[in-house]
Amino acid sequence: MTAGTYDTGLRARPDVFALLPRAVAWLAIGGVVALCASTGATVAGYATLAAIYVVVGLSLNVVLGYTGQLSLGHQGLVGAGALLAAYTSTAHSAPFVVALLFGALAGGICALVVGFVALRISGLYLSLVTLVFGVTLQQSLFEVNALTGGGAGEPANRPHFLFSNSRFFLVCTAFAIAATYLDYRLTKSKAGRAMFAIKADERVAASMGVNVVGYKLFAFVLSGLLAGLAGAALAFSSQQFNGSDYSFNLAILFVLMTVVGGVGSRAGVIVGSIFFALLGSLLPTLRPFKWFAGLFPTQTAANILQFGPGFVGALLLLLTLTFNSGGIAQQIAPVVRWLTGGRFKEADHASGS
Amino acid sequence: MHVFASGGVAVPVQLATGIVVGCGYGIFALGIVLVYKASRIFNFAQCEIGAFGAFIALCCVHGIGFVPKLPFPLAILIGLVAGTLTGLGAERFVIRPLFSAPRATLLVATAGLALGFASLEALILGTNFKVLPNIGGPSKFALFGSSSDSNSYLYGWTQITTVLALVGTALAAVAFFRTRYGAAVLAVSQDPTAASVVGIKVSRISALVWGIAGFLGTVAAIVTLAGKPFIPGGESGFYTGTGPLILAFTAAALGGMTSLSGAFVGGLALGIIEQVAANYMPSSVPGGTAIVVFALLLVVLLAKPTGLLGKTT
Repeated sequence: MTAGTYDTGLRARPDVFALLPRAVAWLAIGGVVALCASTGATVAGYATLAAIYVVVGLSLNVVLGYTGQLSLGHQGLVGAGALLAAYTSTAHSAPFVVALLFGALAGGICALVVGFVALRISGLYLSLVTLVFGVTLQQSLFEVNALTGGGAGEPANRPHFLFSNSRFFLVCTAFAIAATYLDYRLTKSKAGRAMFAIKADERVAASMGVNVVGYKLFAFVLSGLLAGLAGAALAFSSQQFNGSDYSFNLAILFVLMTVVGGVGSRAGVIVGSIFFALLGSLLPTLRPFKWFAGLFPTQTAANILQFGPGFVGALLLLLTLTFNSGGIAQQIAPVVRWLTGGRFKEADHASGS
Repeated sequence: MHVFASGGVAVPVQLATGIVVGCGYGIFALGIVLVYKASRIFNFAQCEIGAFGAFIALCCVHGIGFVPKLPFPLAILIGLVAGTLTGLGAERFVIRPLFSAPRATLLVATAGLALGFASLEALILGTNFKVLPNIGGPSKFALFGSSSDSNSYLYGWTQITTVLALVGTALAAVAFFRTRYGAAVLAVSQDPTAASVVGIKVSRISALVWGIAGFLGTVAAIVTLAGKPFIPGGESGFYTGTGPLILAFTAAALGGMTSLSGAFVGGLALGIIEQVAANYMPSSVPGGTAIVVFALLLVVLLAKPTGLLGKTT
């Protein structure tokens, strides 16, 4: 995917007829964002969740997609960020930006702990440790009354100028774009190449002079910082921190959106994250789904509307794994290639991201 | 002797409860170890497949959906068959197509399976949960102390049946590995290609193992859920941290993921540790049990990855 994609410089001369349709397409994407921000508080709320999940998906992609370490405890990192952001902003009345920074820091520190464990334990055992780590965080740290304000949850009030959902959505979109750019720079850098080498084979990477210990820790901390930032945004989005929201359920959802999106592919993960962020809230409102639920008795219909998205998500995951291991990324690869200036059809060295 | 702990539960009662719960963890762990031995897969759906079998039994008992109301023993039998078939189906439609995929992919697949089953149960049952009847009937007697104590001190035939059934199942599973089929499973786990060369059908062994794992999971789920409300994706299920999955995996890791007896003993030990930790951890520390289990898992994996009772292979 990255190795072997050399820029031949053939695209050096800007072609107006090639640029124009792409510019229109990008403008359309920007238009959707603007539409989400201007339609109303409900739509902006959904879109905010999608933007935050994009950051989480990219964060998980750094460890899972680039470095090859499966983390089943990402909800713990996100939750730690949310908790510290809510705590600093409410108990110590920290400014919005400072609370965000503290949130990111909390995620980074928790991820550093996991990273140290990952130096000794790898593979399936590491996933098991991350699973237990996330659940332990949720049951212990997220339930400490002094931090979380007891059963009511710790409030995380937005500053006055971000009070409207639309404005907060634009801030979260900025985070998502920044995370995407960071991710793009990462894959083109020495650190990114080192991570790919570690994923391919740790021993070979070490023998080629890659600092396996350092880059593994770096990957985890970077992932944790992004997850913590996303968590802080999540807390400010609902204006409250509730420990019970960060259950193992959420960790599975994060893995779902990364795997169904396409592990290791930036565009795929972004689309997957948006898809799963909207699935839970939008699927029950879709007319065909409502019609399907209406075929059943009233109680069952209500259950289907409530628990259907989880079932659909699981089904999509299993179908992705068994029939389409590249995920969404595989399907949208030509579109992404075209949008980023390449050809729609490309026979050799397909660049997925 | 200082009999009463800080939580007010007598030590023998903690031990007895721990043994009853721990046997369940042990059986779940047996299923996990069996699958790992045969195909090097971490089966995160072990508890949920079992819970699905128990769910089918529940449907039969209460006559939920299109299922007619059936007598309890028949319902349990159907539940066991359903759990076994669920394991077989999971192997046929999810595990076998992914046979050559990376192990992490398979782990995600089993987690997805668990999510799917939990959602399916929730779709049918909804939030108004039903209760699986007690296995040994409602009769109770005081094993420790007087029967005038709180209800939680009373032990009945349910608990005795639980322990007997689970220990019996564990012994049967260990005995299975002494047979030709057990040897075949071992051969496949060591080298699938070599095993197929000497005439072992690898896919059939894989199916056999998942069927047994489904059966074991269902036994453990039915027995540990008896008399308790069945909440989809709740305590019985996959999601809750104190739920059986984490404890079963920790138990399996205590046995080094390869030792059947180690896994069962590990499950027993964890059941007791859980009860003792719940009583002795100060109430100001939330999630004390989870912290203890996490610390134990880390220590075992960091200090002795082959497990406390595992063999070095």
